[in-house]
Amino acid sequence: MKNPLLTAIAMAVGIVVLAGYFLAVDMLLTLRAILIEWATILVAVALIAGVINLFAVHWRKVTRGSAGGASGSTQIYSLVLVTGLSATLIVGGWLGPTHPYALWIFNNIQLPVETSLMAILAVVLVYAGARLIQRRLNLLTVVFLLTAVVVLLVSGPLFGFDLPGLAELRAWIGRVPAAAGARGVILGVALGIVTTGLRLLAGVDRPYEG
Amino acid sequence: MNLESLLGLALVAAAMVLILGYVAAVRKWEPRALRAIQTFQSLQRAIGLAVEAGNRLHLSLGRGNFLSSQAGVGFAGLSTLDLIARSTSISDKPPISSAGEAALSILAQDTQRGAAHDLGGEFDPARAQLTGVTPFSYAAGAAALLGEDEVGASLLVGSLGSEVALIIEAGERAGSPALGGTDNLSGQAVLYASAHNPLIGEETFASGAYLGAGRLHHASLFAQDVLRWAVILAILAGAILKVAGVL
Amino acid sequence: MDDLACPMCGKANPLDAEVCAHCQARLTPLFAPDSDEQRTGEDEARLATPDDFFPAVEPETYPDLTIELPAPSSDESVLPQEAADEAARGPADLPQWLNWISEASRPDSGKPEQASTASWLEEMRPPYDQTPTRPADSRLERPEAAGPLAGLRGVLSARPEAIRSRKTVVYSDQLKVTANQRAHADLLKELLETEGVPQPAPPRKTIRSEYFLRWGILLVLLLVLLWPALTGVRRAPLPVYQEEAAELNRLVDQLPEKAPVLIGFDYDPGLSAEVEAAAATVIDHLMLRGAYLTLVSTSPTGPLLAERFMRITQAGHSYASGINYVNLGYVPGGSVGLLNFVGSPQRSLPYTLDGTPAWETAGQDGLPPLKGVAAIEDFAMILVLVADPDTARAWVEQLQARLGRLQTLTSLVMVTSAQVEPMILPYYYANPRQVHGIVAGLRGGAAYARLTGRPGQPGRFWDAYGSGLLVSALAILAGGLVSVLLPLIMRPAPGEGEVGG
Repeated sequence: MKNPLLTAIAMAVGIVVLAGYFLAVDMLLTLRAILIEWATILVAVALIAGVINLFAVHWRKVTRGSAGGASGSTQIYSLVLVTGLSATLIVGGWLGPTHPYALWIFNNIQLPVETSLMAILAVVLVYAGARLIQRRLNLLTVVFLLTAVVVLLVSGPLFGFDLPGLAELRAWIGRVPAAAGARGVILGVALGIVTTGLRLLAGVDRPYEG
Repeated sequence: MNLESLLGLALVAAAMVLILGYVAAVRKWEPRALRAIQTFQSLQRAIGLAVEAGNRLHLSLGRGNFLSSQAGVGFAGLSTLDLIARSTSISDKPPISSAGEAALSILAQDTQRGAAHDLGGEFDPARAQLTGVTPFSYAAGAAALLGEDEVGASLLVGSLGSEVALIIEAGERAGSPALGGTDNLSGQAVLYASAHNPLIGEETFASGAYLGAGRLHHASLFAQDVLRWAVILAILAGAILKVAGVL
Repeated sequence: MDDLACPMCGKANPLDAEVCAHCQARLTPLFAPDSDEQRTGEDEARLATPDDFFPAVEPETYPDLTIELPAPSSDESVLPQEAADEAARGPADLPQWLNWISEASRPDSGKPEQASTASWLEEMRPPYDQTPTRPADSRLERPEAAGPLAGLRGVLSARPEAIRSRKTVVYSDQLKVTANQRAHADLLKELLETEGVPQPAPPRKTIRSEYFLRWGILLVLLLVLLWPALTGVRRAPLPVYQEEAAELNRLVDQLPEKAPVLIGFDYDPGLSAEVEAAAATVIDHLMLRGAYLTLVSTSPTGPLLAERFMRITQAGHSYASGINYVNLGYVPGGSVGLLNFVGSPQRSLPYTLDGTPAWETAGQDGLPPLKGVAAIEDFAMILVLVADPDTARAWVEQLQARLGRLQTLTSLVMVTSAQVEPMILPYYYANPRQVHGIVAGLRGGAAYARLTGRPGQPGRFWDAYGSGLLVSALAILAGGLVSVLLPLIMRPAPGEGEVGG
């Protein structure tokens, strides 16, 4: 269901914003500023729409249960989500985000949960590192693992001592090979973003036409 | 217009010229063969298995903000989602997608709705979900999807940070292998260590060409290759000139 | 005395008996026999055979039943025998045009002449083109010699031994199948029955080594991380500072009192532990200098993290919201929103998080931290707390677009997670410098704490941090070595397991 009008609008807006970045023409700059403001507002509204979708999906799991494809435990998790979302919305929306109750929810529920997930991530990454060679044995993997081990060892106090030279080694790794590799990857990604953007401007990729 | 703006405009113009030139040239010659990438071969196999075994594919679009440079990889993920949705249309279990950004989830719904409509199927909005607005809540929500929805394989194409390890771990527990790529440096390192088949760097943006999206995707790949070599030569030239004392 | 055996029951009877005394069957024929064939008493006793009743007929005198019988006459009184006799005498007075019938019916009329065929056609006749002849069945061709059908060919013999009665064969209605066929049929039946029944997939068994390895890593990490906190032992000295951290320290030291500083809280709750531990000493230093702080975030959870940071980690400074610091809240739109804020902060965020007008305008004074601030370059320092490389890069790029053009004195400094450091260092070493100071990770925060002489949070966590890093590195190294060496150790010796080996 491709609508040429939607495509034309997307292409026109994209070209105006792109041109406004490169060409210092007053009209283009003004148009660009207005369009970007509109986009910023739309993204904020999209957040509301996304949260409503999240609520609807889990509400359906709670109410339909197994008929809707949700197992018993999934129903409970969805119920917890729906309850938490509603409570946070009411407290934060009615009392304000800086109210002690709202801050209590954030400090005692969200923050501990997310930091716990980060802790689990640490274990998962150590485990993945320990099994990496078993999964993929090649020169790149060996270099990857050796670099990770060296950086881990020199980032903290080794056996309670800050050995001389290790700090310089670590600084060199961060400044030279790591930065160089990061730059190279970022340059490649940037080129990919340019070509992807051009496909959008040309109307080849149209994810906005449902 | 300063030098930076001029260079930027020249880069964009060069990319456009290369893309159009490739499209025009391909009419006379056959499109070039693409380098074999294990991830896309595994993806093709995963799509076939999903159709035969009655499983579904899960596509994670990441949490890239649409008003930043992360939008590029987000659009690459949407393009991949469209191709996969059409490829698995004959399956009774269409793919599901998860996103960590609201605009991305809305566009994912639009993409899947369009694919379902074009192929005469029905679309369920629950197939494209916003699973969380922070990275870890998004990862936790996506991991929960893997466990409950008979997912055969997970494809991760988007802006994903180190939290992607949690999604991959959940997939391993559920028996669904993970493959994909991201533009985030931390995410790439984690993908390399955890995923079965990672995509490094700009390989993520080649998904359209490898999945048969069309001539223009091949043209984009060609433009990327040419521009990459141009940048390499420019860096080398600048380094030589710097060492020589010219710059 | 010779007896006469009855042809029916076989019992003996006197020679002169006419009927059998046992079964009343006739023992003598009803017709008078020929004088030559008259039976005398000297005839030997013998079984009466059907020949005794029916005269033997010589083969040459067999009646020719092929003679055409005459058409039935209208006179129905004509007996079939008379018609047969008449037919035997041959037709009489047939019209001339029907003479061919009589000629054809005559026994000696001969067979029709065979038509002659051309020689070439004769040569084409296939060798197998011969009228198949039925092999002569000697039994059928031999005329019957006894019984009422004596003299006829192709009849069933009347002799008792010719027909052997046997018991009727009873055919079973059960299908005869072999054991193998039965097994195949059962299998097919089972397949058809189970086709529509979904078979539950067997639960995937978790590999035991995976399970124990995960739990082992978790328990060891917990132990080494909690040990310093439980025992209170602090042995490791704080690290030496890096150049970029020292530069940041110098810039903060150079700030005048009540200098307006913009702080961007752009990290996620999951990474708050590391970033807050690193940033605590820097913001502590800022507060010691009496700086006015303006808090902003491009992350939805940023404002709440900022409030929490100010109330918990900096509780010792008595900084009050609206007086010493102001929280402007969330800037939506990512990089674009940041660009908007950088271009016009008053227009982008006119109110604080709790709805109070923040900026100085014609009609109002504005809050103390924002007095004299109209644009982004009016801030003395911009400090960004960030845990994501892309977010860090976005701040640098959007700010540099404005600050670099105006060549202001506003310095941009960052407190980042350790994973961001490789991305941001090139901006520090660039010429002109785009990031003027960096504190990266807990190590950077600990080094900064050593500079300021106020250990704070980094000092508390430094020992545990070091132990955790060491255990992680050893676990990865051990896992790699085991993965490489175990297959070599477990590989069977050459020749083991081979046939004949």
